[in-house]
Order: sequence, then structure tokens, then C-alpha cells
Amino acid sequence: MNKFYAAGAMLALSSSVVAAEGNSTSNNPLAAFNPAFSVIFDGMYYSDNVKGEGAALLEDADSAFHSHGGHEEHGHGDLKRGFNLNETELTMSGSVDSYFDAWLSAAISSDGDFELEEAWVRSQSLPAGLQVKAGRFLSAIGYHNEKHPHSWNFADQNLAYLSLFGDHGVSGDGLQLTWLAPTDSYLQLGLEILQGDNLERAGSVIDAEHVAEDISAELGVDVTAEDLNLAEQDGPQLGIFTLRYAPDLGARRALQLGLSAARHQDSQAFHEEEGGELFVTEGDTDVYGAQAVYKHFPTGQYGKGGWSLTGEYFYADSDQEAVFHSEADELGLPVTSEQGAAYVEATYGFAPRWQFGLRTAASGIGGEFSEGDETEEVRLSRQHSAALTWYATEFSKLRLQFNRNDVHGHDGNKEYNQVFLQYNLSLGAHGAHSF
Amino acid sequence: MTLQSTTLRVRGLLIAALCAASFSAHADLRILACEPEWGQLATEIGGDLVTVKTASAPGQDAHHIQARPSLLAQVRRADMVLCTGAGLETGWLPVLLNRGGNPDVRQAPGLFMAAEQVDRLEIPVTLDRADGDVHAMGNPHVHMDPRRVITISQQLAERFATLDPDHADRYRQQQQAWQAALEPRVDAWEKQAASLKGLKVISYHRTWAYLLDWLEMTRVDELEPKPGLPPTPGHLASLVDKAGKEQVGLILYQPINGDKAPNWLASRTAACAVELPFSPGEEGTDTLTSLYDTLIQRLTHALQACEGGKA
Repeated sequence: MNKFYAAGAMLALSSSVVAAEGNSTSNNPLAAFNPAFSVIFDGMYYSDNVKGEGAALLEDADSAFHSHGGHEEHGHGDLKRGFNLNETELTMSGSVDSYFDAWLSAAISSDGDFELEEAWVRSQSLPAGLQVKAGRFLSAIGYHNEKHPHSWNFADQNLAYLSLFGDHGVSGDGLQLTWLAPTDSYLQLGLEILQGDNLERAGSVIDAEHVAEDISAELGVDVTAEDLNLAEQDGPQLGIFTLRYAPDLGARRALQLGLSAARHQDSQAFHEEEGGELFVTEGDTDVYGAQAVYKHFPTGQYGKGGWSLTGEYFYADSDQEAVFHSEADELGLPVTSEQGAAYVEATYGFAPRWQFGLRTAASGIGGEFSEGDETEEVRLSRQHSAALTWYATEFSKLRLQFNRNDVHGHDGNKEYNQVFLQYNLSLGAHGAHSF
Repeated sequence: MTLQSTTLRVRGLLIAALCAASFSAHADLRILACEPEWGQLATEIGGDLVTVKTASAPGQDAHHIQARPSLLAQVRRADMVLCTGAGLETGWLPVLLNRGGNPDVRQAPGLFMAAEQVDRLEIPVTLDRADGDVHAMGNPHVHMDPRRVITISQQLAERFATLDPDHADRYRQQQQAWQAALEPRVDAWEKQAASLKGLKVISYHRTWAYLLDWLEMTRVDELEPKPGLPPTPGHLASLVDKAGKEQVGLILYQPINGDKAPNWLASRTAACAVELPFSPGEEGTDTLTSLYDTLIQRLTHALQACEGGKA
């Protein structure tokens, strides 16, 4: 029941926001007395030519970073053919006082499950271009990661992110410190310290109880969570460093370049081999990323003549050791996983309110998975997408998207198509969009 | 000259140079103006005491500027952010102020909203997004009326004086000089525009509310069916009738609107389409003064030509 009370309280607040807006006499854009509130409605008609398995096949694309067991699968993979109600997102934001501003976003799934996606406060009074964010937030790693789904140019998560970070990207509970340099060009350095207990792919951890049960069942002996010899997940495990640079190219175009590096110091994985060997590994995972974004701003009205080009590349590398093995003499077996992922997307506002987008993404680039001296290559999967988006206003859009996927999974290679017809509407406050 | 006196003199020069360096670093007020009209006004009032950067280019639609990273870098070092306000920059200014890492410009005196300084037109009675892109605080395009801009310039000079008290008098003097030069021009423009008084027009967007208010012209309708939505065939067709009934004389549009819809309507009615600049910096209008000059000229010429040509 709690979730309904929470949703009700948020909606009640929203009506007071509407009333307050009308009485407002101040023009300070930050000075609305009540928080800005909005609800994002998102739904789609979906189809593919693999019996509705299209999204699951993408999630299971060959990867050195499969997390076996432990985490509940996220609801996003279950796109079914026909009508899908995607997450309904509630957001509230505003100034707390002169020292802090705050942001909250929560998603209600089509089943009515309420999930707190972000809840953070950020300092607004530190000197020298410093800002601190605390709470749960989307990491500033890469470029696309911080974007909320309603500001994506495509209906689905790109395959590169999906393969390394999962559908939701990198987020977590912790602290972020950023420093903006006092220069004419934009130079921002950021450092994040996160608990790192909710990553879906690179840097994921396992649920020891759950895995111990699986192992007990498989081996027919009693194995407890303690027998897995995993280190205590005690304190923050994930550190992320980001650098963003943008030269001043005037009012008609913009370029932003960025680098990221992340280390998860206690990643874990559960492996089930075909010969019946079962083992659990633990170690650290590093992720490196580079990104470039170029935007040419519209020359006409309603987005006409604007175009953009975005590219990101990530490389992840995990060095782990078997801390539990069904063959006792294999304890300490070194297991390494490494692979790259990349996507490039382009958009063009070819007419007022109309945008055409192309995207190509790949996972498993140069991927390798090795146990001891045995090495297996990860096979490449690819995704090509085209999307046509009609922006009725800033608050609502309709999108038709086509994906051509070439996915290597457990059962070999599959080439197939996906089609999305999506609506995405924002009810409430006029959100300001970051670059 | 003894060695000691040389050392003293060198030291004196060094101190003087250091003082000058730190002085000039503080003498400049760094201003980030959201739109060219306010950048222009800041330059007129601040003269060489201010360094002005402008977030949007002349002719760009200020509703839809992106919070690009280089603007964050400008906010970071700004002493003042100078914008229209009244909701015009809702889509991007909050990002700049929240992520610029500069507490001084998040509120007054470091934040100056020009439209806040004057009476605004078209403050809606009801607020509903179904009515299009309406601004709760009224029409924000106040720089189209030089009388309002004069009021704003006085407030701006006072704000500069608050932020840089050492030069308070100079800001006030520069403002007075600018006002003294503009006021006779305003009288002259009003005489020149006498023929426009009472003229009925259709405008593309609600861009010209303050110009029409100043010159006592009347807007009958807009080409946009609702603010922020492009013209539709149905709406345009209804305007053909309306323009005839109401005896509309001119159809006003900006270069960014494109001339398609205005010309379509002009070809079916007695009215003539006229393209008008909106911001200083657009072709032949480097200052606010030349902007008003161009506006009046274009309007009066268009009306003459229209009455001659279509009658």
C-alpha cells in the first residue's frame, strides 16, 4: 500500500504547484516556492520477428560480463509484442534553501511497483566552482548515462550501454564532487564515490545467499554463503573519475569531449561451466570511457536545421580469482573478463518539429573471457537503428523506430528486426534540459 | 643614483604594477546576457567597465537555446547574469544557474531579469498548457518598447552601481547620457509612425506586443494557432476571412519564421507581409537605436507600399 500513499502525496503536491505558479510575482526562474513536479508518460506498441524475444536476446548477447544468479532481472527486458506501458516517471525538483537544491525521481512500473530511481541533494553555495551532490543519482560517467529516458533520441537503451551497464545505466548511492574551472572553455572534473552494489554488468556483485542455495542444489551438499569466502561488501566499492571539456564555439554550435575512468574494487561473479564445474570469483573491475558530442543548433523554428553527432566508447576489464570452486584444487583460479562497447548516433531536424535519427551500436568489441590459461573470445553483436520523431510540443512526442539486430547469444547468431511506436509525454513543470 | 634608491624605485614600480593588475581585474564586471538586446544595453550603460558575453545569437529563438557547456563556463566567472525573465528562458537558464557553480548569480543582485523591471502585457487569467506556450508572468518580449527599455536601463545602472560601487557614478552618468540621446529619438519615431496608429495587424508569434503597444497598433490574431505551434492550413484559412473583416493592413514576421505562411496569407488578402528584425545584430541593426529605427522604417514603408500597390 505504501507506494500508493507516496504517489498520492506527490500528486497532491503537484496541485499546489499549479496554484502557486499563478500567484508568482517573482521572475527568478529558481524561485518557485514549491518544487517543480512532473509526470512522464511513456508507452509503446512493439513488435519483432523473433516471437517477442527481441529485447531478451539483446540482454543475453554474448558478453564477458554476464552476471549469473544473484540479481533479479529488471523489468525492462520483457518488452512484449503489442502494447507496452513503460515506466511512468514522477519527478520533483527545486531549491531546498539558499544552500541546497534537490531532485527526486521515482518510476512506477506497469505492474504498479514503485522504485526510487534518484533522490539527491546538491550544494549551491560552495565557492571556487565546487559542487557536491549526495544521495542516489545517475553517474556522470560517459555522456548518455546521465540522460533520463524521456530525453533519449531513441525508444530503447543502446546496445553498448546495455552490454556494460544494463538498461538503467550506472547509478548508485554516494557522493559526487565536481569542480568547474574558471576558464573561458568549459572544463569540469568530477569524482564520485558510490556504494556500487547495484551494477548490472561490469562491476556487478552477487547475492551470496541465493548463489549458495543454487550451488547446494546442484552439488547436493550443503554450501552456505560463508563457504563462498567472499569479502564483506563493507563501505563504498565504486570510484568514478570524469573529465569534460568544451571549447567556446559561439552560439550556433557546441562540442563536448569527455573521458571517464571507474574502478569497482570488489566485483563478484558466479560461473556455471558446461562440465558441471561451479565457481565464484571476486576481484576488481575497471571501466574506461571516451566520448564526443557535437551539436549544430537549429537555424529555423521548432528544431528545423539542427543536427547532432554523438559517439561513445567504453572498455571494461575485470580481474577476479576463484574464492569458491567445486573442484577444491582450482581455488585461486584467475578469471579475467574484458570487452569494449561503442555507439554512434546522429540526429537531424529535417523539418519543423520532425527529427530523424540513426544509431549504430556494438557490444563485445575485442571481448575475451579467460579462466586460468583457457581463453574464450566474446563474439560481437551489432544493432542498427533508425528513428523518426515528431515533437508536437516540448511536452509531447511520438516516435517510430526500427532496429536491425545481429546478436550472438547462447544459441548462436540471430538476425532480426524490432519496431517501436512510442509516445512520451510530460505533464507538469517545464523541465530545463542539460546539454 | 645609489643602488638603494634604484631598488626602492623598482620595488615601488612593482607594487604599482601589482595594484594596477589587481585593480583592472576588479574593474571589469563580467556580464553574461541571455539575449543580444540585453548584451547591447549592458554595453551602452557599462561602457568599458563591463565585459559582455551573449548566450544567444541575433535571430535565434530565445525559448529554445541549449544550456551548452561553454555557457556554464561563462556563468562560473560572471558577476551578473542578465536575462529577459518572465519565463522566456525556462528551458535552459535554470540548468545554467544550477550547474554553473557560482552562488553569486543565482539571485539578485547578481541575477537581473529585465522584464521584471517593467509592467508586462498579456498576463494570462488562466493557465493551461492546452493554450500553448503561454508565459504565466506575461509576454516577455519587453525590449520592443523603448520607453520600457529606458526604465530597465535605469534599474540596470543602479544594479551595476551595487555590484561595483567604486564606479557607481560613472554607471549613472553613462545611463543618463544614453537616455538623453534616446529620448528625442523616441519622440521622432512616434511622429514618424503616426500613420501606423490604429493599424490592425496579424503577427506570426506574439513577438511584437510591446511594439504595437508603443505605436498604438492593434493585433487581430497570430499566424500561430497557439503560441509555440506552427501555422496550420485550417488556421490560416480562417485568417483569410478575419483579415478581410477586420481590415488588417500588415502581417508581421521574423526571418526565423520563414516567409511561407505570411506570403500565403498576404496573397489572399489586402494585407502585406513585412519581415521585421527582432534583436540588435540582425542585418543593419547593431544597436537598440538602429533596431527601433529599422522597425519604424520597415513598417511605414510597407504600409505605404501596400496602400499604393494593392489599392
